[in-house]
Amino acid sequence: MGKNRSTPYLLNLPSLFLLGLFFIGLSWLLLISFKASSPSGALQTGWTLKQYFRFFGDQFYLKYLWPSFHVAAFSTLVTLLLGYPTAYILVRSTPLMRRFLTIALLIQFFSSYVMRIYSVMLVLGNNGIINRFFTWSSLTSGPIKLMYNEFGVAVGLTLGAMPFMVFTIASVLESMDTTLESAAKSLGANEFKTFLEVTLPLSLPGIAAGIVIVFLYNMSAYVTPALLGAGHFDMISNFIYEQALELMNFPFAGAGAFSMLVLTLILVFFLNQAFERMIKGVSFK
Amino acid sequence: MRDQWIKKLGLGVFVMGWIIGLLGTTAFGQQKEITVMTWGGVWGDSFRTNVIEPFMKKTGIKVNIVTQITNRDGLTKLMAQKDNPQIDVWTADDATHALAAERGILAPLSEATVPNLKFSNHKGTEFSAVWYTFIPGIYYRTDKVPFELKTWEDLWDGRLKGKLAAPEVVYTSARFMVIVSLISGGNEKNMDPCFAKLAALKPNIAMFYRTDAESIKFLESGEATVCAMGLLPNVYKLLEKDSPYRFVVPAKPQLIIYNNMALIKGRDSKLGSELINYMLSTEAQEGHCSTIGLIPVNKNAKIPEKLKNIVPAKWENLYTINLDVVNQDIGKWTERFNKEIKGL
Repeated sequence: MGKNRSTPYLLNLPSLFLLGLFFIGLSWLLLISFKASSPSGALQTGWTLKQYFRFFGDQFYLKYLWPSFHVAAFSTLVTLLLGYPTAYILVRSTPLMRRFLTIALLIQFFSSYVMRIYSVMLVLGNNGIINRFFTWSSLTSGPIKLMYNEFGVAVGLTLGAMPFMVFTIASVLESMDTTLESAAKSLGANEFKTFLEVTLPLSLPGIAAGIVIVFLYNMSAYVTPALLGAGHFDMISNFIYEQALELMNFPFAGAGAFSMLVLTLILVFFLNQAFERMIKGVSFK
Repeated sequence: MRDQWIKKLGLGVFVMGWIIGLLGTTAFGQQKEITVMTWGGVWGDSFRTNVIEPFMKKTGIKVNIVTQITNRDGLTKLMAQKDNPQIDVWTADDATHALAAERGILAPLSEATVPNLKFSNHKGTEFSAVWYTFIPGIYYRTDKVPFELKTWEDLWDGRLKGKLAAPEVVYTSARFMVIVSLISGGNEKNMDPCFAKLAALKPNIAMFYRTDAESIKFLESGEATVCAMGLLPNVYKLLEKDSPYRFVVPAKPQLIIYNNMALIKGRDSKLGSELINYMLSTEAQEGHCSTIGLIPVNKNAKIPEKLKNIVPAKWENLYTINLDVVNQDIGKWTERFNKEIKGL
């Protein structure tokens, strides 16, 4: 019975089709960003770099990029700091605890994203749990502003991205050879040293994948800044939405979207390079 | 034996599914069907109950509803399907319909195909018939605001510091911007006074909203106590006796917003015209308008009783906005608003 060589390709046809559609959309976005449009949204003939000059030439539009990178990076870091211990407990705890944590994360993962953000608003709002506690305990004279700013958006992003980080790191920790940890301990290393010199370096691939996934997820966030930023803290996706869907200025939205895509890809490329070097360093030790 | 039984059952299910599918595309496929794009929330609920369900019952025409988040969101969807439109009837405000007519995606309407147009107080344009009208005003929480708001200028009162939810420029096609311009000596053609006046409002602004749902959500959650400019239907059901919510229409300037109906070019306009005609009927107008607080345009339809206490009896300071100017400049105003007022 000879193997049919075309089978893998045939099986991949649906995903290739989806990829094709994605690239068509992306190409259209790129092409349209070199056009000009009238106030009614009609595309004008000819090609121009006007949209890119406008985007990079005006400090105001760059202000959408920097806070987007800043808040995405910050919440990725917080997600890592909170997600790693969660993943560690998830993998190393008792079956009951493991089940409880998995269910808790899955509920969060599968619940409506908008509802999740609304739940954050119930906690961070003027009448939310935190502000009520602060006011009740006289820690503050009145409610403090915990949302409609960068902080609120960062909290929302962290909450939304947590399952991605936890499950990515957990899958690496799960497949890790635990005899290496036992060997380190038998050679006199304490728990902390074992973790720092064996577990952590060996889980670097999971950390790297988690960081990249969560950072990309955060960079493209729209709903979180729309609800928790409420116009006071907009990210690049809010700018793209406003230009494309509200002002019908698709060329300018395209320039913004493509600029974000290219800058993000460059950043992710360097991140991957750095992680690869770190992971190789661990293997050669 | 068991395997054979399962195979037979599977074959039976397959054949039944095939027959049902076939019937769906042939016999049931004959059913007349149209698609209408409109808003969701309280607007959509009332539309479905007071207009669509009776219409389907009366005519046997099936109506599918597609929800748009904002007027401009609807326009974007229609532009994307311009060569192969999937929508028959579209509801949006007058300014967005004007933009759509300019882009050539609307089909003309006439009294010949929409006879109820002859009963309308406000006819609209060749491509866009007025469905109903309403007045923007201020809504606020009387239990949280220490004074009674009466004029647009009251929004600048120092006691409202950090208490105000303000609309983004695109909300209701920049009506709030025009109001601010008018009270500060400008108009839609001269927006400099508007921006100077809005800059002074910044300390009072707690957040910005771009949808109807957001405008009321901020008040309900207590994040804001005053909605700088909102639409009566969003708060209409909350205006019961002893309610802490109040809707006020300041005396000057007063604006009317028209929400209109349009047929989409490239679709069979006969069924769409039938729906539009029904939307203009006395029965549909009274039902929809009395449920969410709108002013009907059909001369024979009664204005909801509750509305008489809220809207002014006389329109003495009514201002008509030049929609061409709004559509031409809304992009510039948004950019300036983001830079000078939101200060991103």
